[in-house]
Amino acid sequence: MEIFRFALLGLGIGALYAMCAQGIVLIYRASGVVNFAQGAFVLVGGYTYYELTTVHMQPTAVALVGVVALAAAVGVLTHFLLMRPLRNSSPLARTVATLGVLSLLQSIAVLRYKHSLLGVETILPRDAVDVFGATITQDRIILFGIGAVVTLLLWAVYRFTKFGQITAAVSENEQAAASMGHSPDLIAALNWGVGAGLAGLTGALIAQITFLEPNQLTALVLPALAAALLGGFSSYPLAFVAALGIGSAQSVLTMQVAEHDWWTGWPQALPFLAVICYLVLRGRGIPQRSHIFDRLPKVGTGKIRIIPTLVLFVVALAIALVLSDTWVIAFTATVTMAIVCLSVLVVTGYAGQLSLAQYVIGAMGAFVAAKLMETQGTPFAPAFLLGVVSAMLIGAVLGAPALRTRGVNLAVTTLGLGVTMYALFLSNTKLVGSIDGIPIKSPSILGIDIAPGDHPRRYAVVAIVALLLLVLAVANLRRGVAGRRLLAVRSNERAALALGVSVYTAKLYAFMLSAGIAAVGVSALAFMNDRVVFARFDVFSSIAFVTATVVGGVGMLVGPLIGSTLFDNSILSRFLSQWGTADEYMPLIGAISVLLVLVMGSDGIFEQNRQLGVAVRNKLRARRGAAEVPGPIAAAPERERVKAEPVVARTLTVRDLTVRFGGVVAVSEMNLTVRPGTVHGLIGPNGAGKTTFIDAVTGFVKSTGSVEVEGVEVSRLGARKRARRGVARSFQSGELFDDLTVRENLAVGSDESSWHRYVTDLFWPGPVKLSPAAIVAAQEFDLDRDWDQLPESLPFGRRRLVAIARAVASAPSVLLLDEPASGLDDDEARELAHLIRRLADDWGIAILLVEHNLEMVLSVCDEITVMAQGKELLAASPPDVVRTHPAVIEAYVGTAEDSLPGTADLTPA
Amino acid sequence: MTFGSRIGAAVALALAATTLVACGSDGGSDADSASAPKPTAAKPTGSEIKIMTIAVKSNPVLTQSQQFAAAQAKVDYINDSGGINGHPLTLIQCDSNLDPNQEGACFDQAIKEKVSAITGSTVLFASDLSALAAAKIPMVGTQGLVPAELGYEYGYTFGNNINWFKGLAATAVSDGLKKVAITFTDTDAGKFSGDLMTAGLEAGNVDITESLAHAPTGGDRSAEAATLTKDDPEAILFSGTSEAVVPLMQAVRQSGYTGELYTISPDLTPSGIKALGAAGDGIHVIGRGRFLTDSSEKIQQYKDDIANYAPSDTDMDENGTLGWSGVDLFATVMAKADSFTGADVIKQMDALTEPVEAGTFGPFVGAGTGCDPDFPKLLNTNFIVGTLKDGEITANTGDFQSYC
Repeated sequence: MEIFRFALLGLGIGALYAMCAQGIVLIYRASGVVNFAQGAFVLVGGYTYYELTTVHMQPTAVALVGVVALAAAVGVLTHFLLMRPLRNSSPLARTVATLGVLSLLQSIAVLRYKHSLLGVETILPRDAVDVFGATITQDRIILFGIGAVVTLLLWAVYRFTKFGQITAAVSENEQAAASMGHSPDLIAALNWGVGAGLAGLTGALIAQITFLEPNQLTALVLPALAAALLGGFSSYPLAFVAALGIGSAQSVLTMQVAEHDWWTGWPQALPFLAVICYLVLRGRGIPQRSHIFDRLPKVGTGKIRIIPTLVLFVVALAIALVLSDTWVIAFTATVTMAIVCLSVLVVTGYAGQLSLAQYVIGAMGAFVAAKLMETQGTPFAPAFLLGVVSAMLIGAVLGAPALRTRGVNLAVTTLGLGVTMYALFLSNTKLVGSIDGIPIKSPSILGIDIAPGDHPRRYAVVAIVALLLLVLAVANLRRGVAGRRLLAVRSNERAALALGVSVYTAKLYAFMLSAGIAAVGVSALAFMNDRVVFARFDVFSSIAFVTATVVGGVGMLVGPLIGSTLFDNSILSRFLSQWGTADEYMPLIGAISVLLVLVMGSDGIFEQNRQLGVAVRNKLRARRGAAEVPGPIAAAPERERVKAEPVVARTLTVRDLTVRFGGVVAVSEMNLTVRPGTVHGLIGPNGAGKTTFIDAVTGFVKSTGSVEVEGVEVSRLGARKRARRGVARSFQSGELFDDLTVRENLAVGSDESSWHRYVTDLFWPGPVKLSPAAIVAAQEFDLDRDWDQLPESLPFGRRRLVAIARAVASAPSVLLLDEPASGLDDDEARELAHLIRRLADDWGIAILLVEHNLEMVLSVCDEITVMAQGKELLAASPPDVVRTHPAVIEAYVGTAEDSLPGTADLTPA
Repeated sequence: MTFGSRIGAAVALALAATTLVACGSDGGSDADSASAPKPTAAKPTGSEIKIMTIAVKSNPVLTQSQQFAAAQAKVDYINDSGGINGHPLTLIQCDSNLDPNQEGACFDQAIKEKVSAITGSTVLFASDLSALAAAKIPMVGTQGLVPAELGYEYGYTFGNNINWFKGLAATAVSDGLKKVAITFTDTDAGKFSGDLMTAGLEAGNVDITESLAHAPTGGDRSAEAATLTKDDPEAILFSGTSEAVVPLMQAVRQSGYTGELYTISPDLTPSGIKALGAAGDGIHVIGRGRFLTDSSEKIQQYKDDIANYAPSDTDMDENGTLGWSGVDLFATVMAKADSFTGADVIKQMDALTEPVEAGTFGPFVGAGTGCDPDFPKLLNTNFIVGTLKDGEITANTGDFQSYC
């Protein structure tokens, strides 16, 4: 009965979680943004209600209207000032923008209200009510009722009204909705308003049952996010049920904590553990074909400029050795925080995995080290190293969900793991003591005392050297094979897999390496003190490290250095503290910086200023009549023409291949054989299942039937292993790695699969090496002159050639080309056809060509199979047969009397 | 989006943020106007006397900004009154931010600045005070929260933790309670208070139905409240930070519990009392100093100093009276001194044989052996009992009593 009573008690707060969660859901449905600022909107509502009722003595009804109106206005402003300018930016940028709004509103509240408890006179009755033998108060039932009514209303409005239908239409296809006369912008703004208004109402209601405090109100977003995610970011009823479950479970577990110490932390951790399990179970190992790749923040080249680096290093040493102790301490803290930001660069900037738990993971490393020192008497240096190793192992755990989730789901997952680690370990007083913290042994290296209390300069020098070494290692990583793998995964997981890159290994590596770096940074920061209070290393601080790194430039090595100055114990904060309480404004300055930088472009302060500098320089030169115009592209170094070496001859044999998506049969019992040195066409009208066939053969979708490569069954292998067995492919949309140059794109296709490069590249990346096949392909396709260009700077036709060259860089035995001529003009298509033929004739590759350009297919192919509605319409036949086959003509042209085009002239234009 | 429109959005964003910062109120309450004007004595011309106050300025777990404001107000009043025997007083405010390292840094700063004393402070960690002892820096009128501070050889604390919680237990026993629940914030200092309450209650044969270490922070406290009330105790005894105790009290009342509530005076801050509203009526309050409703001269002087010198949004509360009283005790003891080193202050404190008025606190004696065998260094064992009613805490009898 007690458990039942506690479960009922949790329904009240659960209903408030639900309302917050539903705001998140409706904003996501309308704009595709997971709004981490929803808790901050609750804060706006709570404090506005306090102001109106308690300070300005307005009637409750007036206050409620005011609360909803103001919160809605903040939501609409967020859309127009932030989300609209960022609509073409990456999900990362938009997510960070909501984190910036969270920081902005929270820092304003702290500045205005400090951390004082503020309460309001409740309007909810508190009489005891008996519910099946359990006594609770009326207010819990009323809150539950409000939550249920709001859920019902939202469900009805978004299901049955025109506004709801238009929102759904915009959610599914903005362009289509716009073509019907609906403004996606306006719809998104309205939904931001409704979502924020709902949060405002939640704030007014939460003020009825507890006191207002900025941190606690913004933290409401954590269980709400969990509920929204369990509702799939789409279902209001599911989010409601999930939120009630979370509220009740937390309540019951809180009772358990009072009974048993070992339950400590579980009330906070449980919702997110449920979310993580759910996401991992329902996630996908390979992203779907519809996965959209937005523009990500720009990534640097990783080249180290020796003189500026040396100058920076010397200046840093000078600061450490010359300035007073207080400045040195602030500078050391900044250096250690730069290391944490560097970890964000690796996992988010390079690998594209948005981790919101870097600071917490780093703190876990420090926690292990501190416990080893405290309980085992382990000396400082080995304890430090063991802490770093532990953090790397925890990083692997954190990275595991990344194998099956991505994007915002991954962000929420990492946040959840951060909350879990924080609740179970870092704030668990049974493990870390109370606010007293854990005492730290006096640190020393090689017998030299570097205790920051006694020798702050020595400690600073060690921290600076550590930062320098880590920056150099990360720069090496960027230039090496391992870095290319990470960037390939960040750009396009499917394309990376198709080239034999192990996406799983790359992601796990990124999480582990970044966790190790974070542990170095956080440990160095934590051990600046005699005692470490781990409760300070919370998830909101972790979020701040992501936003700060984005401000500096999440893809640039300089980014972490800039971002690290934005914290309230940094050297900039120390500088501002000279003017009274100006340092109290650091969180606000940081939040505004984030938002301004994002609005101006998501590449970060350094890159924005660099671009501005280039623009100004060009303008000045233009005035002098010497504008900097792109000169002729440097001629590629003359190389001896290398003749194509025949690849290992293997035949692709497909038997009874069938692909089902639920109840839909996309491909049915297809049979096909592609022999070495031949081009086999696969044609059919749109929706025939051709691309699905390629996906199945290359392991990107599950299928039944048999796929053999030279008699060896590969149908049970994953995409990467099939690629390593010599089965290469291209994609309809090219899907090049936009952050890598043409040379690097081909290098990814050339790289061996050895894992040791993940280690050795940190020390010595070596030059970019291409396989002989890649060099030949580059020559064949005349790509030498575009060597150091990024794909986005190339004409469409050349991008297609790069994609094919990349596919053949590994000298595959079998090559599956998916509409390679799509978007090419006639001359380019002719040239491409010529190249495809040469790949078969000279290289001996078995090529399967899926193409809508029938003229090209009929000209270049030795055999052609025709598909329609997922089935074989015409078995492999010579082009002449296909050209005149009535069923094929009807499928393509519509009437059997017409004919298909003739053979194209394959002579290159 | 064009570069120009991005600039426009950025400017609008900056304006919006600035507007949000600028608007709204700070939630503070203005002090009443003073009953007496500022004194206008000649400026003190002697050598500067430095003292330090350590407290938590603003933290989600604990906020004591009033402690600084009140101590500074008292210092300003003393200087406007001619200083201490013609010497101007300077207060160094050190924000420990609830961090043992920062608190340690405050001690280091006190040694470096050669302060005469650490006055009216909240010391929360203080495991090693040897450096402070070596520098002969006394603690005068500090809280007395942790054992190290209470055992400090140059400590002249108000002994709050002991007075409060031994007083709390003594009051519960004398009120005839037989079955109570106790709760304290889940910190070392909180657990220490829990131990003190438990010992006192067990000695009085009071049954403890639940002993709950509540979370320092947290939104919904209903589950913790239900845990405390599930065995129908006659009363619940609360200790901890105001930031945790007040929401928990509210949740206990919201759960329908009608038994008695007991707590210590600093947990009922003005904003906490205001927030509790009618739910706070009848709460038994144990104070270690006079309540603000007291009509004594010292309380009036404290109020005047806040009105005359403190920022307009300074709340008057128990943290404030501590900061103010620490400076007052220092000034009273050193009133006729010519030298103000730490050793001089120690000498004067040890020389006290007659009780002195320690600001808003009860009679304070700085020498001899106290009546508490557990804490013989603690010479002030007084506490006072009051009741919260209509938003004010009023002393039941107005008399201090010793828990011994």
